Amino acid sequence: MEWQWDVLPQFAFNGLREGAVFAAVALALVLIFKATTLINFATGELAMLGAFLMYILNVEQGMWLWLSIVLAMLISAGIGAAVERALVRPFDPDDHLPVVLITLGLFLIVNAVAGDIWDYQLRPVNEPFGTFPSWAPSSQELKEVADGSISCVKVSSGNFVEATAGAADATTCELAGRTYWTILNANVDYRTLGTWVTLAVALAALFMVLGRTKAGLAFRAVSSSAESARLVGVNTGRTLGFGWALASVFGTLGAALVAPSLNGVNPNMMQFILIYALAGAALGGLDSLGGAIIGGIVVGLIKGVVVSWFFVQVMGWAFFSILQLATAFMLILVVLLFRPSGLFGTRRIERV
Amino acid sequence: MTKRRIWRLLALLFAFSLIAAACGGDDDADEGDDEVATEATAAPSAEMMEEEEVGGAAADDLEAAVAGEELEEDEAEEEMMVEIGDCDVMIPAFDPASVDRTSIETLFASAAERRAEIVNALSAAHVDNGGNCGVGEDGILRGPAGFTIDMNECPADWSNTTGITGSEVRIGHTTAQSGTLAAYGAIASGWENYLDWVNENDPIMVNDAPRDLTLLVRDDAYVAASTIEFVNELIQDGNVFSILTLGSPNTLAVYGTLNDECIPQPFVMTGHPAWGDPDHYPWTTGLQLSYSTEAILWGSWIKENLADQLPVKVAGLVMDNDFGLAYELGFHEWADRNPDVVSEFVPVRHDPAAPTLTNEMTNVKAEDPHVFISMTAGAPCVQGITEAAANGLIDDINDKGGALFMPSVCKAVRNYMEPGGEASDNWMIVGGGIKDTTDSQYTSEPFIAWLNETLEAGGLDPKNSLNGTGYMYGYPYVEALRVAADLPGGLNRTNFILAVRSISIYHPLALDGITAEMYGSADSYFIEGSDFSQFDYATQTWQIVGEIVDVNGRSANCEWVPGEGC
Repeated sequence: MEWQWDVLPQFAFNGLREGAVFAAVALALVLIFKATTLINFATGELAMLGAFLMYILNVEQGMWLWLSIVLAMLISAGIGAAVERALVRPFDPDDHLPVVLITLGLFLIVNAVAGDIWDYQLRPVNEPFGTFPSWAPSSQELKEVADGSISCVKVSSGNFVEATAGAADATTCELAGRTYWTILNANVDYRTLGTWVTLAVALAALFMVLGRTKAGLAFRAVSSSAESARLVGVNTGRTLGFGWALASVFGTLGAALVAPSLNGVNPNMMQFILIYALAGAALGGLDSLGGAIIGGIVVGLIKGVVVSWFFVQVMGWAFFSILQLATAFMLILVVLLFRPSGLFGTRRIERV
Repeated sequence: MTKRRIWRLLALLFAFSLIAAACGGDDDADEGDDEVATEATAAPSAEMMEEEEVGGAAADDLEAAVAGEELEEDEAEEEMMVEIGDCDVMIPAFDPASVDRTSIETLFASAAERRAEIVNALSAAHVDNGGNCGVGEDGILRGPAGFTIDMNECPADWSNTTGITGSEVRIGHTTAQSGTLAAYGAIASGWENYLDWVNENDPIMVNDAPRDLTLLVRDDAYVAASTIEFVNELIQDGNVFSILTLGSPNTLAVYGTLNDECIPQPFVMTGHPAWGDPDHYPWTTGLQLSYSTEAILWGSWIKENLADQLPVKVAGLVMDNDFGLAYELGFHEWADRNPDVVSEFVPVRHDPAAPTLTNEMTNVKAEDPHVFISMTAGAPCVQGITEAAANGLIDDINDKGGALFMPSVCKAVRNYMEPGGEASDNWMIVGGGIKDTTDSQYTSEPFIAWLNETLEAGGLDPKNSLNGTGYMYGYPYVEALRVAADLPGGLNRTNFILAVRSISIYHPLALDGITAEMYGSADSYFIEGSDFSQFDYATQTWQIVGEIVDVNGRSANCEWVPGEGC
């Protein structure tokens, strides 16, 4: 066994990046669970739909990427609210089984319809964090190359290793440069940094909406006790729709952030991510928004640090690289055995 | 309280045992097809891998060919012209110069002439004309070079003409149209488009009447259990003449069944070395370069081109199933025999369904290899490129003057290289000797121009290389069907497998220098050569580097033992 501390930061950064995506999707699960105390198994597929909306707007229609993401989130919100109104609200909220079956059915239907419309080919998307401003570090410099012309030359570890044809000015040279920072001997790419910043902004907006707006107050009231909220005049139906809309927004955000790592969108893109997110939500506590975020990030870190760094790299147990999901669930099982409501979930106490 | 803690501990032990079972469950995956399917997800131990042998490859010949040395005369090739076994057929040697490539019409005319040569040779030696080739009175099917099938062992309800109706010839096909490898589903679309063209313009004739070739496609999502289910359904209810499968774990899962049922399964869409076992699995053949041969060519290239840095450390990203493990096993074997070339080989396996490969590629980078070989397929091919760029692996390897390899199954430019962006530049490949139909170097060739036109006419995207790959698999299949249809007795299963095992043609999608040929039990691999190419991002083309390597007829057969290997 050899402790390889030098590579640990890289695995930690990987875990934090993946964890951020799991956190966004876990948040979508928890938002619906808080409102309805049921797990929406179609969360991932609705998020995938959002990612396809982003793809259509940006890649097919040529709209600015970030505007496409925001628009996709808004349209997804509408779809989420419509699903709640049409397929969930007609059922008795205390009878969970039919609604769970509906979300399972929705999972299959959305996936099959998406597969029929867009087929299962990977459709490349644009990188939202690919090119950073000129002050960002670049690994390319303008140099005179063999034929005497000035060109963009890739620099790595102080050696000029490759001349790139066609790059002739400082701006293009820097923009075409390296897309990662080196921190603690780890390469943290702009996608990772961008994912964290985007999630942080989205979370700040979410907590502002929930804490400072009437709709947010109503949502919290319904989450606390739907019956009491109804008695004080809160329109619970509309509020639940609002919860589904918020969940769809975060699901779409998670899908949009992970799509470049998957090299594109396809109808199956969210299926395993949903499982990791579900693990994160269960770990954090299914009714805790903060728990979902921490749970998602912890699951990402388990994948990166515990499995890939400790078991595979340090212990040399190569077979663990295919047991990332199993190990994540294993550790979560340990936590849940001792804290059944998750790390931050509300402990249920029944009086006798 | 104490009781509760005991329950918790028991639950924990149970969970740990589940993990342990998942880790060590491969020891007894040995007999029968179901076990083979299970093995697809299990990781063999190093000891088990050492005991296994790779099939298909002629390592010494390949290394000599890569080094530019003249190969010794091949006895098997000479034997093609003399009597071998009971079926004394002599297939005239094929001369590539005889093919007129000036237009698609002349090319098809040349193909017809070549088919006629094969038909004449087989017909003259056919049992119906007093020869020994075909099914004799003893119920033994005899083909060239000692190829035999005991038809008495076929099921009692077996028929030589199942699947041939009054209007069509029905071909079953399982493929992945969903799941991680969904992109390969496009091969079926291209295949079907080619059949549509054949049906409309130059149909297969059975008893002087045209028959439509009908493809019955089933989406197994690359799940071997689904393949078993669909193949059983096709056999029982599909009334199919032959069955075509995609994927190593999937094809292995039905390998025994289809051979026991005496159903032709030629030109399967996988390069596992197991498809070279004509003695035990006579009804199945491969088409593309065997993965084990490809693995040897990786090693041979390293030996020749990184000579001043040897020995080097090599890391691989391996898809954890029969497909990826065939690559891993092949390269492991070669590396063990060449410690002066490869100081250490570190395979990093990934779950075929893993959504991202960030951690696995970080494991690869942490090994600090000189050479990285991607031994995966589908979407993970692109992820391998982009993650290698993101974590700095590409820069590290370039600094050392090493190399990065893509597997031949990821050669499709539009599907796997273009999405990798600039990071895909300069990756090497053992390309399997096949032309990419979107590569601008070849798009003006009559066959590829015609192929792309017909794809477009069929509503398919010619820019998707995998649509074109459908023609790569479909072309020799239809050629063999045409040969079989012209043999005494007309189109039936035994004539078809006889034609497949005697095929020797010009394949218009194979690079010049690559031989497309099989010869009974003496040559059971169709393509045994390859190009070495390097990807040029600027032109989006694979540029051939060095000479084409071809060891046609020199690969040893694989005696496939389920759960053990060749």
